[in-house]
Amino acid sequence: MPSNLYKEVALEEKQRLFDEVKADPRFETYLYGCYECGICVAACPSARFYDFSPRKITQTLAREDVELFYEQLNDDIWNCSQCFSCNRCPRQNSPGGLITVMREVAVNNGLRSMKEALAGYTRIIYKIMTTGTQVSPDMLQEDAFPDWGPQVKKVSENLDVWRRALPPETLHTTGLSWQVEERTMHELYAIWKMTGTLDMISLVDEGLHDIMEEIMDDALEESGLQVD
Amino acid sequence: MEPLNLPITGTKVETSKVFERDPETVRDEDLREAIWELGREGEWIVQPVPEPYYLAPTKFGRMKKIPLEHTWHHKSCGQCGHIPGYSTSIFWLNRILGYDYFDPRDQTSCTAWNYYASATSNQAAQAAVAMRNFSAAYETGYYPLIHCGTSFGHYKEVRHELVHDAKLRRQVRAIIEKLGRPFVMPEEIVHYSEWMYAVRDELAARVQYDLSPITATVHPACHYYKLQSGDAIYDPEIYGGQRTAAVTGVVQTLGAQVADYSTWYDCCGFGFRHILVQRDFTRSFATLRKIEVMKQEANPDVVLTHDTGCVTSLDKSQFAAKAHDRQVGVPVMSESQFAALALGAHPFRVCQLHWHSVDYRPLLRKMGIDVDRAWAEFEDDVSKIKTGELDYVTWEHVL
Amino acid sequence: MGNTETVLIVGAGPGGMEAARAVADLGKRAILVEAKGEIGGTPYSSYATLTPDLQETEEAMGHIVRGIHQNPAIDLRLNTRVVKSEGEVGAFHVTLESEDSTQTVVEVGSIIVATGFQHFDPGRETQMYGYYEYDDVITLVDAERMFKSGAIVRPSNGEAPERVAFIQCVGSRDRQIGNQYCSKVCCGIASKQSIEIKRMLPNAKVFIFYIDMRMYGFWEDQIYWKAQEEYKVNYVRGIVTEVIRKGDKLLIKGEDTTMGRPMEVLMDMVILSVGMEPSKGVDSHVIEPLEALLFSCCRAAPGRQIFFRGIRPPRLSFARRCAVVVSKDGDHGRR
Ligand SMILES: Cc1cc2nc3c(=O)[nH]c(=O)nc-3n(C[C@H](O)[C@H](O)[C@H](O)COP(=O)(O)OP(=O)(O)OC[C@H]3O[C@@H](n4cnc5c(N)ncnc54)[C@H](O)[C@@H]3O)c2cc1C
Ligand code: SF4
Ligand code: SF4
Ligand code: SF4
Repeated sequence: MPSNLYKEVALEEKQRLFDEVKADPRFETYLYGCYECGICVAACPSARFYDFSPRKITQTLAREDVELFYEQLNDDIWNCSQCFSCNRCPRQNSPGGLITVMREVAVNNGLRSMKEALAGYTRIIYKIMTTGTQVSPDMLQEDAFPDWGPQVKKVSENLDVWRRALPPETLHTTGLSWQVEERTMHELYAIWKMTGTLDMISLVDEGLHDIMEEIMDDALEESGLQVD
Repeated sequence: MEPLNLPITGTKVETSKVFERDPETVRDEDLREAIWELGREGEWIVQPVPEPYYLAPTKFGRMKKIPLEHTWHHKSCGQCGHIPGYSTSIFWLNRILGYDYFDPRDQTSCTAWNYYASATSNQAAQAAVAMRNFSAAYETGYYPLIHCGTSFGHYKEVRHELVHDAKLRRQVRAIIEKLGRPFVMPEEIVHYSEWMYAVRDELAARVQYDLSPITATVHPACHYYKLQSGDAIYDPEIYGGQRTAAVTGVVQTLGAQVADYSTWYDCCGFGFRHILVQRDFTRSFATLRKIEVMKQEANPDVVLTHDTGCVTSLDKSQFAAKAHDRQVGVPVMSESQFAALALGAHPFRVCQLHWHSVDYRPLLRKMGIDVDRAWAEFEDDVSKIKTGELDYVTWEHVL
Repeated sequence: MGNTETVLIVGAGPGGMEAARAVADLGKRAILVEAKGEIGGTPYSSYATLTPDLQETEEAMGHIVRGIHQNPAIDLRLNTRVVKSEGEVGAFHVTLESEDSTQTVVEVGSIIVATGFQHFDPGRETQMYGYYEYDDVITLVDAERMFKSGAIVRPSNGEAPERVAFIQCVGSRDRQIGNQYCSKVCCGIASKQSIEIKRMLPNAKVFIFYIDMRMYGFWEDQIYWKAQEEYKVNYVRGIVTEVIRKGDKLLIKGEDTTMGRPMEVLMDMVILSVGMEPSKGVDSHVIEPLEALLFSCCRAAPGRQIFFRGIRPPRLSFARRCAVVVSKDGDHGRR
């Protein structure tokens, strides 16, 4: 359907992005066709709170409607909770999986809407990519989670001792979820490099990418791991 | 919202109709055969489930091997970071049952939380992370037991992709070989709540309190049973074999009541990205669709689940909702924490409930646990740590 | 050696009966083998009334059944199964076994397999409809049983339901289940049953949740329009995702796709429009010797069963299925 939104973006560009989604090897098992039965919608948490519909995503991709696709690529996909409740589709589609693929394309193309959706999230990317654990105990800070109540403050005030009061030896950490060996982290860096994941970050946040690249390159050199 | 005066319904079905599976109609492809076949072809090493194992029925009737011991604990970043009693309880239960396990440092998170939040990764990277961890487990001789629901679901997806996509398999294998590691696929991907299910009778034999007055509602984690849905535990005794028996089967065997509620299938609202940067969604969903409904229909003493994200969203979202006079206020924890409490674990040294937001004291009192004394003991540990008299609380303190 | 004048028909449902009658009309002899003690097949044993006129089954089918019993050219073997068959087109030697284990070998020129269907078992559904959890979730077949008994009530408490929902396509048109076909009758049957419910309980609200209503030309105005126009049955486009108990009612969740929003409504009773699957008879050893001929059309791949329609406009609008005719000259027609 012709779209009134994103008129400034050329149809060829929309088509190019669509083709990128379609070229993902998972695409053909994530999308068959769509009955418009709505089974996915009633299972979908995001459909209850946003103007969002996994049915519309699937239907749009099935129709290869690049105009609508481009709208959804910008305005809808970040609403998805990636819970995969929609996987019970009778046509065996995975609307959530299609959204994963669309998001990857949004990242790989540095879309502005993607950057907006991930604003405030980049510190998490830094944590997971450099340490191998996503959330560390020291992230539990009152200013970051004001809505979680006073108990967050208690945790942050007592963090060090409370971590020491944990019987498993691996959990005495505050900046990591558990103790991760240095070698393990270096292997992870090698994986990010070899799979192009680190490069993806430059499209999300150039500065973050540069910092991480420096950390990883130094570490990899030290560890002697070959990445190419 | 007024509480409805509804009869509490348990997990026993209210019909005499009994489902009997016709083996000919089973659609679930048994990936294990393909995994062994690829092993025979030299594509990877298959790590067998160590004996003795328990055989648990899955959705389409296939029996899944659940290792009892020699398990390699694939920890969860969310659990270890923010709900440390979750993993501690799992370890404690292994120790109480005398099962040998290994808590590795050569382990990264599955990184799927980040992937499902931001998509700043790709198929090959996700598979390489998984295979690196599997390889690390194999080299210790222990068998991976996955703590996190999302890691479990994501690894099942990765396994599916690796089995079906030879190109991806070659690519990931090359990466793992570059790291100087063997390329290994475990025979089964096993979630800790499946282990809990396997040892439920052993646990029940050691319960210290009368749990019959306790009503629990269970939230089954989406990534546990909606991703690669055939590979999740189902038990004819639980909801007629029509819903996953994980968590529910264990809690019921321990002697507590499990109550049903009408949003049982709903997600918790975690959202991966939402829980970190768009929590208005998570809060609304977790409280309006889950906690309030449970409260209205079953008025539970506790909500039990088996995934990091679910504990976090269901527990942490209640504070703000309370400020808006919503019907909330039910403590949330994993069934491993609940089981540990039931077996006499220390609520703070082991179950680490002080990391949870909603008040859990009424629950503990109802179970017959002396909360105040336990807290005083914990505070004592803390001051000893502060003065340097004690370095850490260790396993010797809690067994 | 073969007896090309005799045709063996396996299964005496509407398909097999019609085949036997046609064989007899052509002046040949039919051996009609039926596993059960009664002919007439699934509708005759299980349904109360039949489309399109909502006639009682006995009334609609009785004469056909009697016609078979009275036809001298039809050799009916009740409580009998085929245990072995050898030979080739034009000369089959088929071993029949009756209830008391007596075996007889018959020589026939052709075999017609008309072993029919079985109802889909909703315990296998990938949506969560709670058939094995709640008494008030029933199937079309259970509903027929109720109609036969003369009252439609909630099985849980014996009371008349105020709100009834039909869910279409249960076990059909579903890649995950492996049944990729439309069962063809359930839309018509649900509509028929909705009329019956409205006749019995005029104040009840009846809903039909569907992907698309398929009447295949037979039942459009006679049933579908009638239900919607005369009986004010609510047709809602969108399939239910799950059924779960709330208090003493059933909460159904789906999307009203016309409105584009998720919906949740309480019902007293839910009727699952279960589809059809080939009966086990199709898989039995009748087939094996004929494999080369039959496999290509009948069991090409699980989930791709083919439905066969009557050659002439049917007197009853049965969708005949899995009746494959292997005629003596080897060109296999289909019914
Ligand atoms: C809920 C429901 C309601 C329906 N209502 C209507 C309606 O109102 N009007 C209408 O026109 N159609 C209706 N239909 C469709 C109709 O029932 C079928 O089209 C019809 O029954 C098909 O006839 P058949 O002979 O192929 O199979 P069946 O009726 O299944 O008969 C097969 C026969 O073969 C026998 N058999 C099976 N295996 C063997 C074996 N190995 N050896 C010997 N015998 C064997 C069985 O015992 C049975 O008697 C309905 C279908 C459903 C599901
Ligand atoms: S994965 Fe996304 S689209 Fe699918 S049900 Fe969850 S939130 Fe909805
Ligand atoms: S469940 Fe599948 S077929 Fe139905 S609307 Fe959603 S994507 Fe389309
Ligand atoms: S006839 Fe109707 S209910 Fe039955 S499978 Fe076809 S569309 Fe679905």
